[in-house]
Amino acid sequence: MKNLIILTVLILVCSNIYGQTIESKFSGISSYFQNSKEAEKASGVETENVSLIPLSLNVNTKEKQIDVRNSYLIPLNGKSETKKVDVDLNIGFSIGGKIDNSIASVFKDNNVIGGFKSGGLISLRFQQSSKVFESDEKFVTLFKEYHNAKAGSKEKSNLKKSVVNYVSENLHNATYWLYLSPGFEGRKFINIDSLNQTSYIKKNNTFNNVSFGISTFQNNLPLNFMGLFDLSISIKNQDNFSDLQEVSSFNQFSNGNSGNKQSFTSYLGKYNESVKSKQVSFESYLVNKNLPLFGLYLNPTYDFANDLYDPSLDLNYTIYFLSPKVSVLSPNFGVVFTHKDITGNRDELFENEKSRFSIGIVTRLNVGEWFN
Amino acid sequence: MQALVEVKFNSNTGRIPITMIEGIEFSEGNYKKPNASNSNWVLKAKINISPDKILTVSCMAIGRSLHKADAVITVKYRKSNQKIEKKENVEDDTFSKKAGIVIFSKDIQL
Repeated sequence: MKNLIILTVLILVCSNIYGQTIESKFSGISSYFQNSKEAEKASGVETENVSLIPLSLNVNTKEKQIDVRNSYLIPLNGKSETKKVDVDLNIGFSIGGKIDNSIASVFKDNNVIGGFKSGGLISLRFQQSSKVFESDEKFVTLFKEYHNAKAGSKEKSNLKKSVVNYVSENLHNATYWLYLSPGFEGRKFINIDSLNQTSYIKKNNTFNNVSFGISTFQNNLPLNFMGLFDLSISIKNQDNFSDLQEVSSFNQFSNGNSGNKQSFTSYLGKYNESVKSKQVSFESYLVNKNLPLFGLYLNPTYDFANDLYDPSLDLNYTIYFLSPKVSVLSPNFGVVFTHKDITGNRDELFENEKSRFSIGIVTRLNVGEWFN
Repeated sequence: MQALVEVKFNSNTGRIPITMIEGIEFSEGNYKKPNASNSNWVLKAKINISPDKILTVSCMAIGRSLHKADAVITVKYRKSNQKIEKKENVEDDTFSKKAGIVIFSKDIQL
């Protein structure tokens, strides 16, 4: 955890240094600025302030967690003038808290059970470079003709069509990611082996997981669709907390007054601190360009090589609601439907069919890891 | 006379092949890329302009199509010792229909 924080600080410092690099390609004629303060100073005019906190806040009621996260893109072949593909290194982190008890018990027992959740990401991003067009003489000539043509003229309109057609023929509008993502989670709660016992045991546990994955965004799919696809393998070391039963317990103080009865939440059942498993997960996120305000997410996950249980297949699907003002990969929110163990291999974990099904709200697109 | 020209693309844009202002070519490397606190691509350029003329700004960018790739062009300058700010909103309809290509040329009367 300490190393993760140090790495994060280093990345922040490095990206700040990188972000302030000024090229002087146009000095002598005019200037451009990547730093708004420098532009303000040179022009003598005031510009609006923007937030300098580089974090996004995410709420996930399905997992009952809240976190802040950010990621940084570092170009690996940024200097090359002849490159056809941009290769970028993406480093990210998230840190937050999560609640493990039911919302009802928070109000009833007046205590919150939970812990922390943090994650990291290192990925390589590949996509066609803008240099393909910047260094293309035919494109630049065509664009200059378009720029110089008289506004509103037929010539300008025809030149616009020519530029669009030329770029369409030479454009591969897709992005590919290859990533590795470690995660850490901590939990603190009170465990009771059976209702007949009165000895409560405080449990404090941390566990980890790591995922490897490949993802792609495709802008031009058949039938006017666009979307994201992700295939990942996760190696998890978790506990069996979700198998325990939440119960309300209380302490009765020796003077016997009812006012001295203190209730709290505890978890009933045999606690296993380390349950190893492997998962293969496929995720897809599709948006039809004719229905631009909705996105459909589909995610089957196959959990196998589990220390405790037979293999099982979970299915999540989410309907996302999009805003016309922001990227298709940044929906406003989504309603998540989860079906656990649809093959019925882990019947012992579910009281009935209803308990396999849950609904939640998410505020970000949860495909693979971070995408930008 | 000098003016601060700001070109801001919304987050549907992913790559900026070229922008032309007063005969100067700007490329993707000249733009400040989006981050978690500002999801726009932003170019800030100090341009030498002639007063009482038309400033032409042309851009071609590529993005994840679907929603419109809005752009906002802001020109700030001083004239007769007064601060003047002109703002133009640009929406390009070809973006969502084509393969994620936004292209426009805007004339701004100074």
